[in-house]
Amino acid sequence: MAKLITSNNIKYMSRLFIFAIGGTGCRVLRSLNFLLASGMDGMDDSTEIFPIIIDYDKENGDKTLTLECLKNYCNVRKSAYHGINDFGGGNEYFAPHIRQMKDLEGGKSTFELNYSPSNADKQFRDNIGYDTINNRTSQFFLESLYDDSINSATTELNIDMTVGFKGNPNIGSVIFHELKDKPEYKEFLNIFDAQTDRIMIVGSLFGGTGSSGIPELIMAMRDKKAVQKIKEAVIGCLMVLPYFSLQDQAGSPIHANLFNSKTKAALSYYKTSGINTKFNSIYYVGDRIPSQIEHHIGGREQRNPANICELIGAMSIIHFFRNQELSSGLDRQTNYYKYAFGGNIYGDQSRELNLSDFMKDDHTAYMFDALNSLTMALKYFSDIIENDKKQLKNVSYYDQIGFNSLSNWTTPSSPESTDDNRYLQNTCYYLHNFYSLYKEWLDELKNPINGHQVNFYNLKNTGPNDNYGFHHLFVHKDQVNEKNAPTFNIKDFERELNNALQDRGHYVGRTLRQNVRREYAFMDILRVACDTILHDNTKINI
Amino acid sequence: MKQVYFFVNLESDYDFRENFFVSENAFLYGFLIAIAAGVFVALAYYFGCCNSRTSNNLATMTNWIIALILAGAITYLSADFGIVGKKDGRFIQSNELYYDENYGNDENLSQDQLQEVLDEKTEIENGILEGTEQTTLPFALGSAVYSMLFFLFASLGVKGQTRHGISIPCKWPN
Repeated sequence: MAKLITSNNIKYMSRLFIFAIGGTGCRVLRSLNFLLASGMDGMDDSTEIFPIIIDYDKENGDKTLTLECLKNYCNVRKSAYHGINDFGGGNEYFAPHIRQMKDLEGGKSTFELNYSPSNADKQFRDNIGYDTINNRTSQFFLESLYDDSINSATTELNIDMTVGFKGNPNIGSVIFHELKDKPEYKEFLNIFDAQTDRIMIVGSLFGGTGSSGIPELIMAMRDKKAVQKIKEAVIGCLMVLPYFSLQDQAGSPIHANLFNSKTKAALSYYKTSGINTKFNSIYYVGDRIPSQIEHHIGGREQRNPANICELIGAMSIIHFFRNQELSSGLDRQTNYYKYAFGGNIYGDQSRELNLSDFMKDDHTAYMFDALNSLTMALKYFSDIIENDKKQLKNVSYYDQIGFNSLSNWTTPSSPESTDDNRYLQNTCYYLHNFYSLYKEWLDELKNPINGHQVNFYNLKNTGPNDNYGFHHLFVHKDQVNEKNAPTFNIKDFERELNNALQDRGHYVGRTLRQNVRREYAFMDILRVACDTILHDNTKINI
Repeated sequence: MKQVYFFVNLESDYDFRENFFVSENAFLYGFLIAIAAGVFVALAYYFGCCNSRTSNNLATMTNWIIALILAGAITYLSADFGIVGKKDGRFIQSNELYYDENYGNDENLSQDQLQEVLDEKTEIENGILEGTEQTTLPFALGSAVYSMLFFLFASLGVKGQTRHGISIPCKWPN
């Protein structure tokens, strides 16, 4: 049974199951992955996140990237915190577990709910057995429901579902009806504990997969025949409204000009059918200024740049997880949330956003405090420890952690390795990968094609003569004003890392404390040092 | 102590000054100064420069080398001027053969004889000073080297107790 944990005298649930539906669900998960890595308050090592990706599009580019991010996160955590059960009360980076059900005893399921068409069911007509129906009346009925224009591969009956439902929720709802019979869903039912766990469903309302998956999932969970513990569950939903638009392409089954209409239809249906009332919390996220992205109907080509809406969606998930005022699923009262900068949802917000826009809001400031710390830590790790290590040879923490004896971490250690350095080597290797993925994500957030571009950090390494660019790291209001620039330098990092090595009790009696894992000690002191430097030397003007 | 300063013993004029170095404890004083300077400078470096919560700017290998040289220099100068070069003290007043304040003051000597004796005295004094230089240099240098060794030992002993000096000058002992 999952346990209840206590932090700052507030009880937090320990597990969150996130059903991420379609490409949008995946992209929100990708953003959440980076937020979780920051180790923010209330998301400590007792937190377990179970992402369950539902996407009919087997090779969706967004899904592939999200899975890479999630797996890399798990690898960092596994390497850095190997054998560590007690974090000593600190909110470490990568503290929350991102887990798969197969990690649990008897579990088999991975991050993905296996929901792709078999080779025989590639087209929708195959899936519903259209061609095997002998009764012509039944066929006429189906033809009246679904477009079957002759010689068109884009019509609904002929749609190739290997890349999803291509914006057709009417098809998705038929396919998703089988969801509750899937072994992964049954496994989820088996391990779910209504006393301690929560469920979040994430999907878009303007495509096909999300808008059909959301109602099917919640109906299955709140159905009269559903198991009691799921009926009692606290369930939230992130409904993503249109925030991007596709460039028109002749012959495509996806019509971006229908996004708003489809969303309105879905919202209306959810309201009138009572679907909304089945949730404890509903979060709406969208952008009135849509991003203009290249037209891809799915598959590997569908790889949209990260967007602020996905990040706000991820922040909504954290808000839901931390919200202690929600009652059980049985006596629920649905709460509706919309995020708006400064509380003005129709405000004339600039299209270019930065840290100041988020840090003046108490609901999000604590998340960015943690993200600022993580960013600083990753930059220091990459620019100094990884790429300018010569100057660290005689620095206490560097030597004590064992970097001097670690030749390189361009590859992970061999699984058979018994080398003492293997966990440290792996931690560095996966941390390096994480930083690459993180930088890619940040770069995408400020992509000019986005409706709102967000620039949080300047990660450019400008070399030792310019303090490696740390003075310009945080992008915020009045950043050009010298007095608002961070005043810390590399020596401050070294000093605080050395201090933390002693203050956190890792270094006792002339050596690292017995049984302390060096990679854990490194992550711990990195967190403490960066938090201290941020607190003492950095002013972010909001 | 005689064995500790064996390299001074090798000098040809050493026998002449054995009384000073051994009986008058010059070796002992030199050695004690070496220990004191080495340990004191090491402690000052590690707890003054490498243990501050607020700054680690001085905790560098360069500064360690400067402190090492400082320990040696203090000892060298103390040994050279403070012990051997203390001409108005122990050395001048010592009971060395021919070297006495009353030497050459015999009233029974003729003027020529007196001059001869004074010349001899001057010659002996010059010889003593030359011999002193021959033994002072290895004594002072040796003390400085011992001081630097004690600085190193003290460094290895205390570096682990500091925040920023754990790896200065080297990782060992861990």
